[in-house]
Amino acid sequence: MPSDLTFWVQTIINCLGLGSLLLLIAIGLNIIYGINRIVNLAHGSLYALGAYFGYTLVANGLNFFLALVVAPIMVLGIGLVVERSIIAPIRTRPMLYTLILTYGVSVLLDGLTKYFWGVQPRFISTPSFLSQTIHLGGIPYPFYRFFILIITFGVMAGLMFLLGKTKLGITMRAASNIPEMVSVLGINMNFVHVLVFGLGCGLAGIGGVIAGPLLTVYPMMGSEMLISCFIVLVIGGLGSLRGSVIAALLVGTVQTLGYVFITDYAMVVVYVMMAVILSFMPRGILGEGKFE
Amino acid sequence: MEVFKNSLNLNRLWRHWAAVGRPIEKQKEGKMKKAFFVTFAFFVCGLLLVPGNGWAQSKNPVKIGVPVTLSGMGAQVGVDNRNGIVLAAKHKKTVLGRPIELIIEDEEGKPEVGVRKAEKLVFKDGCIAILGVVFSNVGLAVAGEADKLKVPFLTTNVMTPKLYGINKYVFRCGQLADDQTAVGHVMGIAADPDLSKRTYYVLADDYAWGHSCAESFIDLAQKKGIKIFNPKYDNAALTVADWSPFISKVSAAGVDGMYSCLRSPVVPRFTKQANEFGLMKKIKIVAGGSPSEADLEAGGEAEVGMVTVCCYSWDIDTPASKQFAKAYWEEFKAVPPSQGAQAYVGAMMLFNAIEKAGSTDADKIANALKGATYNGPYGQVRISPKDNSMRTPAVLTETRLAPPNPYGAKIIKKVLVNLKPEQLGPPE
Repeated sequence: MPSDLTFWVQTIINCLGLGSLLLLIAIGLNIIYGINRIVNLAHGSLYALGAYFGYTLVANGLNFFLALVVAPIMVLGIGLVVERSIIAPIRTRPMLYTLILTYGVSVLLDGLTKYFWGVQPRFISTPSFLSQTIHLGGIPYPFYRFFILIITFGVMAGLMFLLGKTKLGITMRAASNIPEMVSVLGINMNFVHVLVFGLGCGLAGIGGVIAGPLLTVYPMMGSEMLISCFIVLVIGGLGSLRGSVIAALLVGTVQTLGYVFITDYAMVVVYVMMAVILSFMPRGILGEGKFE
Repeated sequence: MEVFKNSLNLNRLWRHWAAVGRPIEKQKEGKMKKAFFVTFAFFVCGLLLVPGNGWAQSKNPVKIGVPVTLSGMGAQVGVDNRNGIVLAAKHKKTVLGRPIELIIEDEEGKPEVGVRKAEKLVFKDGCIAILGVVFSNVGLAVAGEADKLKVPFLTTNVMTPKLYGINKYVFRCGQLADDQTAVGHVMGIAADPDLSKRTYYVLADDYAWGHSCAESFIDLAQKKGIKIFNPKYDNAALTVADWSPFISKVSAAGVDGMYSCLRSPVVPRFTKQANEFGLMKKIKIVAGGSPSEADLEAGGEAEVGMVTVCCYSWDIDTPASKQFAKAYWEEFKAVPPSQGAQAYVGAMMLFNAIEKAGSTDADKIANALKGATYNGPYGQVRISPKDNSMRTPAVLTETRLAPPNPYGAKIIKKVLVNLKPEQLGPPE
């Protein structure tokens, strides 16, 4: 077992880094389920689309930070089209319909991604200061991973503020709990659904652009990430924001330590942990999960 | 309808006109001749339609099934393989005087899909051979069905030694096996004072190829006195996206070398992340599986300094190599890849074997493949009749920044040492 301080400091930050990345990608999925009650299986593909948009924008000379704003807006736009054309007409039907349809959308988006960008892996270029290695008391660590922590923190703070402190957020939360009452009060429920779905897709886009410089942009990257997102969702409790934060950090920590100490079985531990939590805490780690 | 009636009338008029003025006997004789020719024509047509007749079949293409990974992470290697096979078919044009038809399927890098697609290609599409397959787990699964498929299966990318002599219909064609690359790497490390004094950390993808790649190297390296930090090498799950735990581990191990048995598309991801941790300045990576040219391009400068053995690099300075590189570039406008060259060689060997067999019969083609040779982009290769696997020359290369080149490549696999087939083995 490695015993030097550098290793342990790096490992702790690695746990936080992976957890924050998972949170950033999974949070959009969680919001869409929490408020709209839709399990969006196209979330991974929208995340991949965000990465590809980010890549194209940066490769064509746009500043990385501008791409971090523009690409999610583009994904949000696609999300709105999907919501209006595919999800809205079947909202009142059982969840199975949305599951199948969003899966179909994910297949379509993956196919389009492959068609337009090909199969070659790509990286999103970042400004040089983001690519640097910084030294924390002599311990080297990539600055970009701190940047991910900062972005995730910013996104979560913004989201908490939106949902907890603004009238719009309060409306969204009310719509998730008592939609009939909100509707009776004269609030346009369609508007709320569209807004939430768009927000979730935009968050997927942010996740894609942030992950692009680190994890490679390639077709099907979304499908692979979707599994990790669902693990976070299930452990945190479907629809629970606070639960997601804890679950993402937990999964990031267990996975990272697993790779260090029991390399061959690291993912087994994560799945066992999910199974145990599902068995004893079916509403997630904080008991805040919602069932349809 | 009116036109039809007119044509009938015209026909009748013609027959009437042709008979006008001719004696009755002549008219009868003419009818008999006509009947004879019509009967003969039917007979000839009937013969042509009998299955197995060469002339009738000459219009039918020879169908070759090409299952390769075209989706998911390994898609780029699959595309390289597919392109090499397509280019070979274009150059060969025909076999047995018949056009070549490639039926390409996406095996998704999944064993169960690979088997399903192989069955579809043989039983539904009528392919007479299977050519391709990217990953070892898929290759082993398809090879396991060889007796059921009963057609030659030539893999152009599978490296696991488990494929040696696995079935009379299964051939490794165009590609080095893990034990051969291990020999090449160990020879290269032993010959270089800088590489030979290093201690190597072994990291492998957790599936059939990763295991065989790591085990082949560790076994041989230890016999040759090369220091291995973790003889019970690390297995990384195929889903690993963030390599930071492994990078910290390698860094903490204090090693100055790493033997990587990571799939081609994973390599740029690992090296880029390792570079950001400052690890690439401390260690030298020897890549057990040579990364594809497209993956190296994706990683850019972070890929520089990697040592790897491969069959082909566009840096090989022979007319055949340059000719292949030029043809590949002109056809696909992509950097000529080592995997593409391997697939090209494998396909050419199959086409030549079909011609040598003079038939599409599976056993005859399989027999023709045993001991077959081909002089291609990386020299003279031969399929050993002992184990149906290729004996091939190879090159030990180091990835460097590319000089100006016609392919627009940023990275080149610079040839350091030429390795002969008899050096790489295995002995026959």
